[in-house]
Amino acid sequence: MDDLKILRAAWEEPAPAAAAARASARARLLELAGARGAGQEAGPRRRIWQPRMRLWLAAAAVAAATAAAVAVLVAGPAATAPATGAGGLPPVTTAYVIGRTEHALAAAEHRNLIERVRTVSQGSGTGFIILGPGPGRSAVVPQAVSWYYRGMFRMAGFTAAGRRVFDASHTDRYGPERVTISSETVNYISRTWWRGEYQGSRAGLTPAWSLPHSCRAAAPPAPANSPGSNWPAETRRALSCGTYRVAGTGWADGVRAIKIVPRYQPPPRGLQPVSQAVWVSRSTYLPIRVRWSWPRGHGLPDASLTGDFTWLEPTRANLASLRVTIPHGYRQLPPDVDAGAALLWNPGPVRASMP
Amino acid sequence: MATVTPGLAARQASDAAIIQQSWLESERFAAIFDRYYAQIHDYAARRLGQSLADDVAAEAFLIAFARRQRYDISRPDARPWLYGIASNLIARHNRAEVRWYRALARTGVAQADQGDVERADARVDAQSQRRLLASALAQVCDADREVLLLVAWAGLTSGEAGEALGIPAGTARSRLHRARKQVRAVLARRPAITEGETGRG
Repeated sequence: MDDLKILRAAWEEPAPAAAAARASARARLLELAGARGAGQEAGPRRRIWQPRMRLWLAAAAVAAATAAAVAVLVAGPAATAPATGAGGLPPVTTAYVIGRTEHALAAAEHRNLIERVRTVSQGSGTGFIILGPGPGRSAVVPQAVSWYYRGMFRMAGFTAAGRRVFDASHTDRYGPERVTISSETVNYISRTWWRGEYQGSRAGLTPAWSLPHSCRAAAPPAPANSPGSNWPAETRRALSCGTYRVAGTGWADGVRAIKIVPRYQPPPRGLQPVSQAVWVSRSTYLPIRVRWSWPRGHGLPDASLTGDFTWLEPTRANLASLRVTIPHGYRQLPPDVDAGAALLWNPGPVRASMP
Repeated sequence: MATVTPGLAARQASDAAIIQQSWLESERFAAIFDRYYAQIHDYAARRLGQSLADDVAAEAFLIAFARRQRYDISRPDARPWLYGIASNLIARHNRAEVRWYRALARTGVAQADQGDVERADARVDAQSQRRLLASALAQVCDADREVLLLVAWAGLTSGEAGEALGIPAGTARSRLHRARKQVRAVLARRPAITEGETGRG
């Protein structure tokens, strides 16, 4: 008899998962998937929430969580603007704006600019999660500041009151066949920190943004980076696929801006829409604000996720923003590459369809 | 306004399609849970016993959900990905796993799940064989054991096991080969030990 078959046969089939355990795990997953919002319990066990977290999340102040940084204006590549329109601004045609925006993002990448995003979630179902390691160490918070620079990523999560809950760095290095992922995470609730490192085959870990160009997967990306994502690259891909059109002009974050929105078909009857808008600077054509919003239904308030962008020169001081500082006296936990921070991006019961 | 991903009937859609949909319609991830929870739980139970399997399976799907936007949608089958996450979680219980095998090797029945095992299997031969195999598994190095058990118990190919563990297929094959060699060596001694243990010799 084949030794693998013997190995299978010698172990009797384990008893199936208890129905209660399965139901509980499924309910918790669905709970995390949108039935509840930031500030409420999340994760596989209710006990993973720190009771005091709810108190923090109940506060309604604004986060004051930004590292000192030098903002720069990026002059986009020379382009011939159309004739000036009303208000001294060029008329905004979709082709012109999309082309300039795509070009500005490419130039930002070429100039190695650091992308910094301050993202705030409102309503329910979305936030930033720190996972473990282990029970009692996971939490969801409603706002975060993230930095992204050439595969290096850092995200600091805050309560609504601005209290820092976690700080996590994450670096992906993709070789032709291998990938190295390293992370460093500080949990300010449990006053612990840990590192994680994964080295292995690139198989199965190719991020969507680096796949061969295809408009099939060019859905507008979420309005915030998360470990492993590359917002500028994903947005450029969506732009090049004709996913966006100009929807107007206005102001965003104190800057004159052009609003672009995805070209969506109306959702099928009975299904609720997700809306997304990107505001790009009228001077640099770099994104300055992205906002997703969706109705929650089921008696829950509407929800949104808004990210405000700053594009930073890669100076020594700004690059230092990508590093996590371990506070003195915090306890180091064993390495764990699975535990860390992530964007919890949950439109929940919304249905939508791509044209 | 509106729209992002096509609506697919979950039963017909590949895992990759469902996961991609769940990027924007998060509750769709429940279809992945429904497809694979039992398998992941079963695998965890074989490796760690029932008492830890509930936690490992639930945690594996939580992590998978949180990481779904990193899923490589060019891979239609999510099993290697899910088993990889579960394997990492199980690795945290490495000492518990080795203790579990040693307990099985000593008694043929694990203390923690004694009731279940006794109900399930009273056959002395099978128990003896399990003791031998458990003893062998406790001796196989962690990396080799991961591949062996993903192939034997999760039903993955060596290539898929490599994918799950993030190692090249060739490395997975050689680890599997090494582990199987150790297991075969133990099985080759089986008759004498079985007779001695069962008192039938």
